[in-house]
Amino acid sequence: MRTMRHVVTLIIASTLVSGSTAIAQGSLPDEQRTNGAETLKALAGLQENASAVSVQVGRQKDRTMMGVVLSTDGYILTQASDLEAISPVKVFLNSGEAVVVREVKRDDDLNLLLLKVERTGMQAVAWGESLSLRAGQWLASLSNQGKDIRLGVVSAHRRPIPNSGAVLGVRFGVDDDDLGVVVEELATDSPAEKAGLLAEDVILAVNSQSVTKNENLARIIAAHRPGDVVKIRYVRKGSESECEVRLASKRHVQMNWDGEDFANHGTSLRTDNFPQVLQHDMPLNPTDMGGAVFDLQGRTVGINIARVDRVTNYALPVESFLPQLLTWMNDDREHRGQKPK
Amino acid sequence: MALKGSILSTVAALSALLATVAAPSRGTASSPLDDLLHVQSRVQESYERVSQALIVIECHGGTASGVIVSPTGLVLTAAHVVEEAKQKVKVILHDGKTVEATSLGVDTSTDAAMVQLPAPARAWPYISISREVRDLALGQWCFAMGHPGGWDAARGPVLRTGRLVKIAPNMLQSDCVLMGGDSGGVLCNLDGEVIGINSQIWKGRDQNLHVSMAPFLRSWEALKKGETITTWAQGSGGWIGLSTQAPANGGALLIQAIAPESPAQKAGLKEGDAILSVNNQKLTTPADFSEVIRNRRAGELVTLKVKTTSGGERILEVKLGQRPQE
Repeated sequence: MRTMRHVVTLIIASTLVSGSTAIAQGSLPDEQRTNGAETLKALAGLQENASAVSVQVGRQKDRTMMGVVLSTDGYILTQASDLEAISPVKVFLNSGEAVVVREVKRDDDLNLLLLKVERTGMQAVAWGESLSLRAGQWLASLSNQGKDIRLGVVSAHRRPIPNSGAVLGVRFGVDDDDLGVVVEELATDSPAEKAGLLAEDVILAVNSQSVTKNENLARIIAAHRPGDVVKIRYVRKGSESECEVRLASKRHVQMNWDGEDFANHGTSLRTDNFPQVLQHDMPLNPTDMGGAVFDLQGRTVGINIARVDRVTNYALPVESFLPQLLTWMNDDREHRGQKPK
Repeated sequence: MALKGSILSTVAALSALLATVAAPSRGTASSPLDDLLHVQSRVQESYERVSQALIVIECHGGTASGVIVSPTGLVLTAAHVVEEAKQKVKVILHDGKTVEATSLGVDTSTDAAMVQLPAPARAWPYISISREVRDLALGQWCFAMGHPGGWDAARGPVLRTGRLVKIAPNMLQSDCVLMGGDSGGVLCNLDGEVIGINSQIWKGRDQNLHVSMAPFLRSWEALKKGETITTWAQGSGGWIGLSTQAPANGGALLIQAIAPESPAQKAGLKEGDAILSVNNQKLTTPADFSEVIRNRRAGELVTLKVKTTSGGERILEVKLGQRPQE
């Protein structure tokens, strides 16, 4: 209808005249978005500093998690549970150089791993405080093997995250005492599926402890932590074999059952059982965990500890681990006959 | 996710055609970092107020969000949350108390819906909606709030700060990342006013869609009455079939063109007539005029006071029609 098109055009033209500078365009160019290059120019100085105090930790250069340099004499902090899957690890410095590490301390309560490289004169993080942070406060972290900086906000209340337990990610069939525990269904991308288990496999034993009842099996699994590895002995079509399953948090697996995981872009194995977390909304990946969370002044206010879902990252606030961390470092120095610094 | 995909592509096509875009406003001489800090303080100023107006809606075995927009307890949410008008839903308020509420109208064509809370003891905490749909600019800062995954007292509501990425007639896209449970939650401008209602996501982190205020404003009374709107024609509001222009020296709007077979033509309006008022309301811009008309439904009567080209004043009642399909 020609006339109507005419009228519509007139209305748009009038708006143009009365309005300011309107231009027809589809969508905001990528670089102008919240985590686009143009917006992130504001963080150029911060990124430079962040890179200087960060390292990559992993078996090979393209398969790493983030780590933070704690001291000039080479103590390095990273996240423990997801790193285990890619151990033994090296530290990759900013220069690209790979350095051997010594494991100083692994803490399962905080899910932290303290490492040491034999270096001096390293640039260490500047600690800030997190107690004054309120929802809406900007934060930044490195992403993509430390190549990019990401911007986000404190998105929810600081709080402890209770333990939902470790799971295999399978539904069991009806108990049959003569057989073992029958796997009826596996959650997509679950620990069991990743380990190669299939529906109709019959589980005979976990860590050499034989199981015939669902309840038994569930109890043994629940006694472990997400990130732990259990040995599963099973029968498939008459023949026995064994596999290793790296357990994940129940919450992580639940999302796959519910079909809500399609847009998460990966989550961490362990997403709960933390004494205290800061929640933020940066678009990060599971491999960005272990890295520092910076305020806009470039001070480290926490360590990224879990990628939980599409909108959620947990970071341990600096106050929740720093006193212990300093103790571990000093104990290690004394043990090694060095002067505490 | 095929359904979500197809809806998304429709939005993309429409917005490519119709989105009006203003360049993101630049601050004066402040540094980019100062600009970010300014955004932060604006969001933080509104955070508490918006938190208190945000609710959880539980129905059909699912959990979602909603936002209170009046002291009497009118709530905006998404149509796919309540699904139908006049249903009882469970609402969890910001302080964790629960009340039973009733769904009002739903517009399934745009995903807009309303819910009514019970009569308040004093007044419900609420935030205002922004009626300036046309003033939205691509790239402008905004923030989304909701209860992703459902009510969590220890966590509280979840905030995301981001930018408007796409502006379509009924839909906004932002890079405030949403997920399940956020549906019906709120997208606010930096004044803490509602500019969108969280609606759907696609896989990309920047693909978060919100119902804009346009379909709400257009069908406000119909939704409040509990009507179900299922097609675009019914939801597109009243149509009069004339365009106006503002004279250079100010004064009354002039009729610039009249569509054949339109309500305007049938009422005897002529090109060049000056519109002195619509329902006793003086209007100074063509955009104001078209909004007044679009905010009314087809079938409604509007009273126009006009001055004809020969100088006489007339009062006309015009029954609004439905916009013809092109």
